[in-house]
Amino acid sequence: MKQPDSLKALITQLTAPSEEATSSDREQEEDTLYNFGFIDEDSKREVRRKLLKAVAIPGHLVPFASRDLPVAKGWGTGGLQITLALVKPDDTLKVIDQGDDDSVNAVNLRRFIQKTTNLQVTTDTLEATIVQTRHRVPEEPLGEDQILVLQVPMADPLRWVEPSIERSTEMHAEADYAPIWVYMYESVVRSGDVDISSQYPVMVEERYLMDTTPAPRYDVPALHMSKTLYLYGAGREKRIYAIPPYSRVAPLEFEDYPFKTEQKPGQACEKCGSTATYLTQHYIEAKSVDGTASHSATNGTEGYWAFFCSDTSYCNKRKKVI
Amino acid sequence: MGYVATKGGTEAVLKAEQLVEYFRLRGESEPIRIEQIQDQFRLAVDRAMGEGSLYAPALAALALKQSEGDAVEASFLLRAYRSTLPRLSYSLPTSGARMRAIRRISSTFKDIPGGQLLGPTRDYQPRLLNTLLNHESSQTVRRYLADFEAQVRQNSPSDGQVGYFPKVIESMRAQGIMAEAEKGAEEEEPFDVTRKAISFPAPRSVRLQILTRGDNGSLLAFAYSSIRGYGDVHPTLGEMRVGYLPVEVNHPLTGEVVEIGEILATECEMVSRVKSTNEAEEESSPKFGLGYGFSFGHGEDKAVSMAILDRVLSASKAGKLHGQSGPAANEEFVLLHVDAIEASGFTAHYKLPHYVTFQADIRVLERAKDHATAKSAESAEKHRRFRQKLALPTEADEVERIMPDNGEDEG
Amino acid sequence: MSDNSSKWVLRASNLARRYGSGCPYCTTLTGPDHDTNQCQVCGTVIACSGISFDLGEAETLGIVGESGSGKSTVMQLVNLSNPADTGELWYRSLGTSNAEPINLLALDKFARRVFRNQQLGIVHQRPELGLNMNFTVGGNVAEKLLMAGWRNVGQIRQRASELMQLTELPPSRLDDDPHTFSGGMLQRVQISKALSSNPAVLLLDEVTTGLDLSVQARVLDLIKRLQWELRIAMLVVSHDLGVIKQLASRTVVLKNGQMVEHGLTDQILEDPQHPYTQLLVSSTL
Repeated sequence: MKQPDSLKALITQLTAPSEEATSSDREQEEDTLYNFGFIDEDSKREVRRKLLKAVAIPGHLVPFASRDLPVAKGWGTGGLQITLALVKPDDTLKVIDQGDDDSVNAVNLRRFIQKTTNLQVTTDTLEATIVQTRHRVPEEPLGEDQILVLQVPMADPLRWVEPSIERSTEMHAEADYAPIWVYMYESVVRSGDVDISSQYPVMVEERYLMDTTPAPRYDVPALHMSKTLYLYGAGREKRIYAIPPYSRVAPLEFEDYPFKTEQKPGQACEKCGSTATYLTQHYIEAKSVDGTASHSATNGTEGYWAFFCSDTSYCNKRKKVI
Repeated sequence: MGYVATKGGTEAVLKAEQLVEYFRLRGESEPIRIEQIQDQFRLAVDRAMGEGSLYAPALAALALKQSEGDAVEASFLLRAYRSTLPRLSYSLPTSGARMRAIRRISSTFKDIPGGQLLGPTRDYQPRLLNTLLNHESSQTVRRYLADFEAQVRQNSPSDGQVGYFPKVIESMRAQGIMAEAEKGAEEEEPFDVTRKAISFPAPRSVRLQILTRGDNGSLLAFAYSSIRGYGDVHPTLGEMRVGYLPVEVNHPLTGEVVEIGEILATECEMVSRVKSTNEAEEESSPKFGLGYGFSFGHGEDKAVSMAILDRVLSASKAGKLHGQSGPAANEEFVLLHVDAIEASGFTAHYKLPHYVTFQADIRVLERAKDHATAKSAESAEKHRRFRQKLALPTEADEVERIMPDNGEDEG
Repeated sequence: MSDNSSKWVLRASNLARRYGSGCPYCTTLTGPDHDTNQCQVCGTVIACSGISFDLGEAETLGIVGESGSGKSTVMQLVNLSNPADTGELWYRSLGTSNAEPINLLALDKFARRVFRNQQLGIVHQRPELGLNMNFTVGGNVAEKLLMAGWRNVGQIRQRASELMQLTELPPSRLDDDPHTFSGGMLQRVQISKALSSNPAVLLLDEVTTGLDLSVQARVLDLIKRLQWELRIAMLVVSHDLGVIKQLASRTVVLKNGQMVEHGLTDQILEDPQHPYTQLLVSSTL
């Protein structure tokens, strides 16, 4: 254990008369202050044990202690704890948010993991051994030797119809899912179809109702009979759950209102031309003569809205091929 | 077609970090020393330690400096740091009776065993801004300290036992007016919420830990709601004391009890009469119930709020007549929402990108819009046919009648 | 206790429920003879004890008593929403000829919930206990169907419309909020919901209490029509002998948690045996 030494170092630093710290001191502090993967080994072991339980009972919510991290709760601490509990020094990691490797939150989490593990990172989905993600499943199919870790904000899909944990735990135990079905029925009556946009509820192995995290419906089919282990972590809600490889995952649907993804036929990414990926809207600033972006408010030329792949690394790959 | 580069997230994050540092320093005033924060921002340090759940005044002061005084941010830093520390030992149970008190009051009786001790409190000071503090200097500070200490030396009692008091609650117990705590629960090893997964219904040790780590403001609001109108427990302050508690552990080799230091803490016990639903029990022995509050450092609002909430939740869980009403009587509701780190984290997470989910929301909105249009067209058609059947004027005719169009554009 | 004992669908045998720790004196010190259901020694409340009856095929059994007599507890025990401390509750499916009776109280929680959903329907005095006021009327009626595995919105709406027609509600109001319905209409919605799964037994808990007399009369007419048309077994709990007289062929009289009299309703009304029943009858008629 390195911590007691580092604590002593920190206290000495604090009480030292001179407040001036040289830059070389700082580097040293970063190296020794924290355990590999930040959290202590006992806590990692707890997470791994709970992961085993989660894999053994697909879709079931497993409570775990959830340690405090230097990342705000609700910003990916559940996924982060799973990743940190699993990574070995020879792993290759990819971190995305909204499908984007360069999204501010992905950058922040990757920086933190790297700082405490010195792990190899990649943006290539196929190169990664572990992919940590928020709100998206990567477009490229993952393999049996990869793990997808998903950050989860709410964990329990019954929260929509039952706020009390004590009661909803009982409902899961008895597979008492009528209230969520009434919720679905009501949404059909009120808006013409099931109006759940993301975080679509699914049944795992015909037993447990599971929250798919706020990923779009587009990503739901990728969960069914997937080759890859999907691990879900909700740090603030202190729950872990999993979809083991080759599990049956079925979105809740009615015979006459079948589950649909948001895909619009014919719509294509304006960068790579893909018609078979999840697209998000982006505003493109009009360019003035000197090549710099200019705001439409200050000159007459209008910018416009374009659709791009939300999975940036896949989009770049396709662009290179084209 | 030219696109604005999508790369740049990393760069932006790094630049934002530099800007934070710039804004912290750009006033160019003398850097604050940690020692100054620890001494002069005593209560901010205590609050950060409480919510950060780590008794370490020097680290709390550092966290306050780093967070530019933001209480939640400072406790967040401490919590994260706390996570990296190994659990070397558990301290032994101690009792408030062993506290070397600097302040202890009770509002149950004017005269209590040991007497009331007002101690350092702002309670009876008019809250006037003290402009003299603008001109405070090391010289004025030294002079004040010298005068004060001389005064103390003159009046100090010789007894070494000064500061130790019997507990008011104990004398109430001796009078037989306190309901006894449930046996068994007392002897159980307390549940460690930082190491074990909690589920509901939760044991009392979970409640007390979560409350004492809770956000001052949230505890205050929940407790206030319960006593102001959304609740029916009417508590009285049995005793509140502030002072130094010994921290003891078993020596790892000899097993002997060793005192390894002391911590400043605030303890509060609220009592309230709770009617039983069980008539027989109610008739045989009406009693007061106890609510317990504890806070690191000097944190009176927190200790009092916590004691009120503990009382309300105990009453509510025991199914007593009182304590059933109001949001603060719902254990899950209170315990799941008082943690500052969790609450601020999730509330602030809306600042994160939601591009993907918002796109999905737009699609569902479009579909709902189509549905609404179709529905309103359908009902308009029904309406039209109905009018036709009854030979009523059409809606257009009606509008024409009410607001005749002269064929001229207005002004 | 009844002649057609071979044709019962539900048989309660010695059901009891108490609240409190209990002591050896509880049973001897409570009941109608002591005019209390609370044990003077330990304070335990004996909500009901020694409750036994048969509910025959297509029969309506009344349970009458004043408030605190234990009739609501009996209803909760039969509805499997409150666990009995002792006793048995047997159910025999009449659909299949040689079905073995099952003791519902011995079922696990999951099986009990499925049974309650499929074979029981309950109508409460207060509509908000039986309905979710945030859902539409259709959503409320759909709940039991969805629990039973119906997954076709069109079929569910078809069935819900039929049930609304059956209970004399305009099917055009299928998608309306329960808040916009009157008290009498809400009872009809509750009945629609209760009947949606074609249950074996319909439980009616003070269904007309608190309604205007004219509305009361119409709801009672509806229930009588359903007795004829659906030939469904019903258990009617009421403090009102008038309601019991109209609906129940046989009646159980409860006082202080115990049965003081049972038999044909007409007989009880004309020739009450127990002093309490005599008091009850003389005060109503």
